[in-house]
Amino acid sequence: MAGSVARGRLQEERKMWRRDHPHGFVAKPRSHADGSQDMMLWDCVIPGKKDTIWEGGMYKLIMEFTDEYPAKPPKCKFCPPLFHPNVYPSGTVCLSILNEEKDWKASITIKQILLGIQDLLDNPNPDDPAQKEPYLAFTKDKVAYVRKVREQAASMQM
Amino acid sequence: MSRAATTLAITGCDVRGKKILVVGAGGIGCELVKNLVLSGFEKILMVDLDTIDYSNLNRQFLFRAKHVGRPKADVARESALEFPHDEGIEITSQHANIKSQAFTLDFFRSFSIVLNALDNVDARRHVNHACLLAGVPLIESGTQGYLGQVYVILKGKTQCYMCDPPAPPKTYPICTIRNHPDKPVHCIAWAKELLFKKLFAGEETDLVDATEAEGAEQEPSERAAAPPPERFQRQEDEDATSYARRVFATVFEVDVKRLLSMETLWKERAKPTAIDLSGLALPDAATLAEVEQRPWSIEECSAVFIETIRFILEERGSEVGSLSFDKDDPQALDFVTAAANLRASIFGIPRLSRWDVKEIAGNIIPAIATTNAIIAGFIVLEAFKVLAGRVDECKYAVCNRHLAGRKRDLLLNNTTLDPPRPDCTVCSGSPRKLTLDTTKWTVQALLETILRQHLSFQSPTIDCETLWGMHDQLCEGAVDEIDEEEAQKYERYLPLALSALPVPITSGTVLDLFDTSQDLSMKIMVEHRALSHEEAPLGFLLSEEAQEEAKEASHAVADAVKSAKRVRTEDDERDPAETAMKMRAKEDDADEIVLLD
Repeated sequence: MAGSVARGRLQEERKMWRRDHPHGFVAKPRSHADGSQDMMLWDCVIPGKKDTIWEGGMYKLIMEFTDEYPAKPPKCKFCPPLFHPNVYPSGTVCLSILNEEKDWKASITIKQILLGIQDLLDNPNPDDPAQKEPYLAFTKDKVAYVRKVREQAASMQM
Repeated sequence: MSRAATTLAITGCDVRGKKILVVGAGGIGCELVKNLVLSGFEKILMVDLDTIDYSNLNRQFLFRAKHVGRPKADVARESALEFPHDEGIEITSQHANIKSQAFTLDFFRSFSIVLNALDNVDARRHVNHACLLAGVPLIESGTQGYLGQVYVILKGKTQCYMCDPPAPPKTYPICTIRNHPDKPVHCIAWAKELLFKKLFAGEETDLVDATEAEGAEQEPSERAAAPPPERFQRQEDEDATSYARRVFATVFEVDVKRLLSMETLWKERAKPTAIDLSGLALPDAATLAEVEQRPWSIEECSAVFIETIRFILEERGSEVGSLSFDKDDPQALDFVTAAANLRASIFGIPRLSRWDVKEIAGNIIPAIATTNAIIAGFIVLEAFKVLAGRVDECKYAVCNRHLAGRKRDLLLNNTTLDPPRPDCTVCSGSPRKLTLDTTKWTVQALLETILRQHLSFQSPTIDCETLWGMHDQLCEGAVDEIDEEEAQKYERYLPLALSALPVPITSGTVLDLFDTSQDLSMKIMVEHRALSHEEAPLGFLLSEEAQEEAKEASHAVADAVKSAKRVRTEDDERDPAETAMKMRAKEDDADEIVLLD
């Protein structure tokens, strides 16, 4: 929507990202077949952190912004969905900085969101489970959990 | 004496020949067009996309029962012409969306002033943006129950609509809605946004979630390829009532038990209680059709839940898959009421009546006719000042709800207009204007001649956005950011005329130029016009820095203020003008119009 705060902010985010972004990450607005762009939908890639069981994986994530951004956080969704205790089976990430009633602030940048999610990968929060199987594996059977995460990392290389 | 002449004598504003655009013919719009006609305005265009509904008739007084179903703009025009009016009045109407591409920048520019009488943020934002680009004064207004406001938006001089953006509507995080609701509104959001959409709109929602165990045994890679089996899919030989009972058991029993299995969720929260449908004696759902004011019991909710699913599937089967929630759709409201209350019972949250659910689910804010009338009156008063060039006298006018016992609470009040917020992303940093023939200039020529040669960009990135919010990128300066597909696109764009691009560049398109290697950035607004060689030897005109434009504007305002003052001095002997001036002076001094005790 033209003339919205969201658009202006996303343009700024884009410029900031161009100037400087963490190695291995991708974040850019979705391009349609006709060449036009959807500023409200960004395709991102988060690399698994080095020296963790997530290393090697390149995890694809979609960020959906609304006209209320940055008053409201974007919805972040792994696509395909991820095996992780705090990721819903639909792929939606459950993280306090993405929750407007918890820690979301309008000043949080796209870079900070992606780094925050990268950090969540290896530091799940068992108090707010979003997916039963990884939650049970993480809390009750660490060996199986590590095996599944490693297999997932191997299957999600670029 | 004509109405226009009376208005001139009283307000010093000559309304004849002024073209007025009224956006919206609803609660405020109806009052407004009546005021305009009675004040002697001659040329009015009304635009509204809506048709008249029965529920409008209690406050939109230009409409009668016989008009139901007809376009609001057309009927408002006809009814307004029934009022006594000056000769030569021309009211036109368009049944259209103001955001449509038929309304170009030149369209907005053709009006002396634009008056908003809108009911939604989107359209307000669009008209705000268009008027800022077109340089046309805009009067923005809104009411909510007893509250109302009117203010004037003048580019570079006063705050625009987005300087202080409207608070976003309250939404609730998905984790709360899905896993641990604690308010009725969370349950309503679950019923309306997750379950209703899943069952009847064919939308993928986050209802499929942690509570879904099927598919959990698969390996992640397989799971990604094949989504979990569909529990909300009706089987071919399944009758509608059995299906409804299965959905009931899924969401109110099975899923609740699964939630319970995640112990950490309930360490500090009360545990939910599943509902076993087989243990309930269901009443006849039909007996509840008229029960609006008291909350239904669990048994009653269960009966309504099953009956509405059956009814929608059997009687309205063709709509399933594309149904959207409408508070005035009885089955949709019954379904949401029943589902929300069942979920509320599970989580120990109070149940609400159908009436209360309707208010929350439909985001109903009562509209009050008198507030609309007051606000429409203020709009016209502000319009007089703008059209007479007395913009320094414009005010931010508000209608308050009087609070008993506090004497200083004013029903109607006004304050000065704030200057634009310097960091507003919409109205700050007015773009430079680039005039050229968009059918002749190609992307290549724009890049070479204007950006590289004239503006000294080295490796520019160009983003563009049209008046209607379509977005495209024409080239990318940061080479390492480009993938092959993108590179081909930019290559393809180079020889194309600006007007022939997939997102055509026309008047009002803003180009956002930046170059990270130089840290240079600039905004340019395109104006399409064929230029003669004498006018522009290089084939384009680029206005100088924006500040100068702003300066010009403030000079123009100062001149207008001076001349207006002169007129008033000349008019001093006249009684009406003097009275009006005194009234204005009183307003300014006291900063109040009505004081209720």
